[in-house]
Amino acid sequence: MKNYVPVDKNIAKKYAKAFMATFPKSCTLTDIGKIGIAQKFLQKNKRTLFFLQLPQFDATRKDSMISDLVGHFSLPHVFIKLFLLLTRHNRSFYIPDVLWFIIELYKEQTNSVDFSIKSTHSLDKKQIESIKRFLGHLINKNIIATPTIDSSLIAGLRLQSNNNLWEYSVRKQIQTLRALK
Amino acid sequence: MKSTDLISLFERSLRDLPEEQLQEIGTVVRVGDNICTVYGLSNAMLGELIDFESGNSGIIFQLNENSVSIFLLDQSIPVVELETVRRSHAVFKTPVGMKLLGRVISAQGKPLDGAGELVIDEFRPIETNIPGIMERSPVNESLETGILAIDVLVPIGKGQRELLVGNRNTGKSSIAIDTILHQKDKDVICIYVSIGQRKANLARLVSLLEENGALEYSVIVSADSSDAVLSQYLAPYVGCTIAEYFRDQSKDVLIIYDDLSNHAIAFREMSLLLRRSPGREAYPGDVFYLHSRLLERAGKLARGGSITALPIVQIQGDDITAYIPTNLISITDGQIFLDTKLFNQGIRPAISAELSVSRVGGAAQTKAVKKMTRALRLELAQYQELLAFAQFGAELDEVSHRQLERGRRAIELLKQPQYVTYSFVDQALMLLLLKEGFFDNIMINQVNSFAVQFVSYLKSVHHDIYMTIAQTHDISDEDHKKIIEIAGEFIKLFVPMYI
Repeated sequence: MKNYVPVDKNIAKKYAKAFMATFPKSCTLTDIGKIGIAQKFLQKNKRTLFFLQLPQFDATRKDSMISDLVGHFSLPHVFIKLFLLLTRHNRSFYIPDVLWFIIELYKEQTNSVDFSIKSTHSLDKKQIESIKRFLGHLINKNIIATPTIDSSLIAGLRLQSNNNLWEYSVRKQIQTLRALK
Repeated sequence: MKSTDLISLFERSLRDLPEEQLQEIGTVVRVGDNICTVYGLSNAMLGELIDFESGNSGIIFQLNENSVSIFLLDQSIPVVELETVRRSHAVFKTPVGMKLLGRVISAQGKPLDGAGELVIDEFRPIETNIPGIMERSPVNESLETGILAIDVLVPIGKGQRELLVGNRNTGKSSIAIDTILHQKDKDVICIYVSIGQRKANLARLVSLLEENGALEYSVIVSADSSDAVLSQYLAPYVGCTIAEYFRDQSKDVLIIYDDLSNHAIAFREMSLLLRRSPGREAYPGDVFYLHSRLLERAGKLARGGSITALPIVQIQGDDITAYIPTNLISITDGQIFLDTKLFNQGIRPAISAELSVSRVGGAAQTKAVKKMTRALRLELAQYQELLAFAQFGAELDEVSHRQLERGRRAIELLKQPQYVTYSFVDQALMLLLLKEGFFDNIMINQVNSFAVQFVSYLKSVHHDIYMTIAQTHDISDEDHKKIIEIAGEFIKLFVPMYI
């Protein structure tokens, strides 16, 4: 399944920018991976955030729920402040989008880019490193690689980020031939 | 071959393949109403052509902070959410070539006439630089429409932009079609751009042009009402690009935009979908620029070649003060106003002499016609003045009565059936008859018949005079006298037959 992309959600972006400006060195590359997992989970299970909006729960209960949430995903502690702020502003439903923008801003700041590496067969570490070097040379950025297996390629590789695609596969050759018809 | 061999093959490919394999892409995040929002494409340009994984393509119309808005070119190919799109690094281009003559194509450059693949010379971007003032030459050569009322009252020159404006069903398209038919053997290439019209109308037009041998020097660009709104928006620019190709081959081109009201409506639809602020009549702020940049591409070039534009605009209830008509009136070099009242009175073409104007065409008018035009203008002006008195039942003196009768005959002379056009020699001869009062003793309903028969008589019996006028583009005093004598003889033969 392809990733969710929040577009035109400027409020979420503003919160993310403010967070990154206030806590500039709060995240490491490992944290970004954890934030990604949390973002995907919360995006998929929005019911979790619904409880943060219920007036039946008092502030202490909500604080404890947020602490549990942050602890569950092993996110840095500063995220408790962010989630609390969003809850107090009645914008807890923006949490997945804010996390998404935090990841994007982190990548922008560290000149990194996420690439999914799809191949028909599993690749070993050496091969992934070689692909990362190849991509890094092409776009002059640090590559965060996520390898996956995709048998629909028939044979070959598909390297894809939000902005770039590099594909050399039998499936693509067939598509090109089909388009020529 | 083992899978490990395949992997090593691709590893080698990684080293060998050039960098251009890397494509800039984006992801469709929202789609609907033929418009889609795409995330990514951070380096994309405004107006860039974008390819979709599904085979569809579109054009970028808006660059937002995190996304771009793309209008789709093809309605039939579905686009799904999260589909990958690729930058083409090129703007939308249209095929051009000499062999496009006789063809009917869509705004996307696809053949619509079932006559096989298009034979093209090149692809050209549809938005280009407009020729500057130093490259242009003044409008000084006549472009005959073959319609007496236009060639005499609102003459059109090669390189001019003359607007055809009128209510629905007042004969706007008919004038345009007659003008195309009249260009046969005149070395003028015609381009007809149909925007938001019915398919049946287009089919009728194609068969009409074919029957009259006019299709061979014409190109039809069509974006009918069932086509995507983007196609309707692109069609005039595509037509103009094809016209520019022919102009660059030093050809004279006539381009008809039928009609720009539909074009403006298509643009309004697109702008509203893009959530641009609506202005007057809900049109966006840049609707003037939409048409000005299109019509500014017409003109006569000093190095040879010209584009004459006849845009058509439809109005409601004879109101020429609506937004789009006033914009177009200010952009063009004159307008031909078609009056519903005149049309219903049987005066066809229903050209209103008072509201129609040609700002530059006078300089291009043929000498022979120009000499005779003053007479007609005078007759019409006096007729309109006296008509007001006559309507109150006021008794008129004999001179006024004669003037009124002559005015009626002048109006009658300007009536012209559809698909019948006159050369400038015919027109000059007809006007000469009016000037010299030869219609005064002819019954009103016989004026046209007399004029046509006289021209035919002179052409066959006194061919030398006819040819002299055709070659010199002027009527000498000597020929003038001779024609009066011939008309005197002809009236004796003609009148008894019709009383």
